[in-house]
Amino acid sequence: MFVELSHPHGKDSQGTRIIMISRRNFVRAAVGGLAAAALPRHAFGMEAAFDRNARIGGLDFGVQTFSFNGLPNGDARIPTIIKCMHQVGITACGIQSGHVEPPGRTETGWWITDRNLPGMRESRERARQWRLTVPSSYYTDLRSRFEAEGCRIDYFGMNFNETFTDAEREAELKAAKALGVKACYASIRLDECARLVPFVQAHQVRIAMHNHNNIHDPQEFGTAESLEKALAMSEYFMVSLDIGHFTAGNNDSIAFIRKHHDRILNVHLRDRRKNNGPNTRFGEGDAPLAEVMRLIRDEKYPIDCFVEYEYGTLRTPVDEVNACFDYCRSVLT
Amino acid sequence: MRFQSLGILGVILALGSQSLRAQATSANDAAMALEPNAAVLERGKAIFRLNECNYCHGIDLTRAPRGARADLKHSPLVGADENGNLIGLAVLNGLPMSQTSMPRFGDVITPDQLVDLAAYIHFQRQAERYKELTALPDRPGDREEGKAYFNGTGQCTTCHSPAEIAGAVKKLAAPALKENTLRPTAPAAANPRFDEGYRAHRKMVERITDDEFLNLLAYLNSLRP
Repeated sequence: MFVELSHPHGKDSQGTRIIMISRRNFVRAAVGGLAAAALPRHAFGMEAAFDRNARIGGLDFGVQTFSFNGLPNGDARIPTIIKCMHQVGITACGIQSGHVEPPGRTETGWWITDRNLPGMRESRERARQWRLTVPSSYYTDLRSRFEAEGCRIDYFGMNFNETFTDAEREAELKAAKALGVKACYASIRLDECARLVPFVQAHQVRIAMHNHNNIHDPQEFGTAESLEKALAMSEYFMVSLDIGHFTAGNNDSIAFIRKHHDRILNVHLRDRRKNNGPNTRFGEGDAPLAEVMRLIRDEKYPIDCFVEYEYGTLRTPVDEVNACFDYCRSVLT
Repeated sequence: MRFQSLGILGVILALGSQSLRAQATSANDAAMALEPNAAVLERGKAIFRLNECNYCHGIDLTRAPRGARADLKHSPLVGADENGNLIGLAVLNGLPMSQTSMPRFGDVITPDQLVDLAAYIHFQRQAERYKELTALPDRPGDREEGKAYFNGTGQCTTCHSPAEIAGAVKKLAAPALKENTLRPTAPAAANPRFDEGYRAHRKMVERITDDEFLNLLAYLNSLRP
């Protein structure tokens, strides 16, 4: 059985509005729908009642804006992020630089493997000049826009790399200060950490290393060992542990959190299969999401839990992020 | 898996109004008949989304900028692929050495699905490369390099002789030559040789680089009497 739903607030640029429901899941959905009818928060097609207290089971939750894929470029981007947060009913976000900087600036990241293509050097320089000349009011205004809507930016994602000049590294740490975030989070390499040490010491800005699952390159944050090397470099280096990627690299999230809970600012909640397997819906992969959240709750670790939705689906990002939070509620209550 | 297959079929039916086929409406009717099967493309698109490919590559292959590992529009591996024989190596085994390693989909994507997925990727790549090539700024190419491409890498001589091309070129203004090189105009009557050639030109659009294309145009324009 297939059901077509319209999503008046959906921002999926692909426009696909189809979900698949098996007979078994249709029955589940029907039963769930009856239950949901009693709850005002989940009225279909209506904006969720905004929940300013984004605590579930005693834990502080947030969402990675990466989850809202298909965002528009230009002036509509930030309002769309805020609207998605309202629809989900979540207060805090971790926002990536690509969602903050003008389009084109994102072409400076680690994902560029060929920097010798025509125009690449010029593009990189334009990005640098923008970062070096943008006034701090750009970031304080951005912060105000979120706060005016009852939201806040807790983490700022900046993927430093070898193409950054020292002035650029400094500018980004100042941007983080202007945003008033708890910390930066960064998908970077160990060798870049070494370059960042004097800057985080001088500016006293924390950077939380966001792991992936390349376990073959010791410079990449794919193992507990590489993260521990960064932690040893500076007290301002922390960890933003992505549970899904850590699992895909066949690492033990529970053991790492127990050992380093005082250096972990947040966990990114994502489910994946082991052995570099794909992302899955929450609860269907190998990542110990429920165990991690219960551990943080029971041990009262001051670690934020941020949903990072990335699995394949035909539904809208808002629907899937809601499903992720529903899973979190289900295992904590 | 049974429900997943049914689901994909449902998607195909439900997406009728947004058919990929509609993207190719500018081609003439005869050429339209040579476009990849619409049902295959719809299945491929659904597989693309259901397996999170769009996150890194973009649903229309435009998310990753040129120079990025995830850029499928210009990837030589995708260009050399035939029915998923090379794309499948990456999809089924993953790419564990990149920073955000490409996951391994060997347990979730079947060989049949891989063929559909590859067809979708090739179709999108052809569409996007066509846009890029037609939008290239008018800068002079290298005639000799173009001739070398015509006789070598491009394998143009498989179907065309220089004399035949010279005859065709003199009937076309420069913009029409550009368009016709990328997407040949179908003859009024059915012609199996044209069908074969049309498909070859689709492949060429995928594989030719910007410089090669400009060089080829320079060579073709030099054949004008």
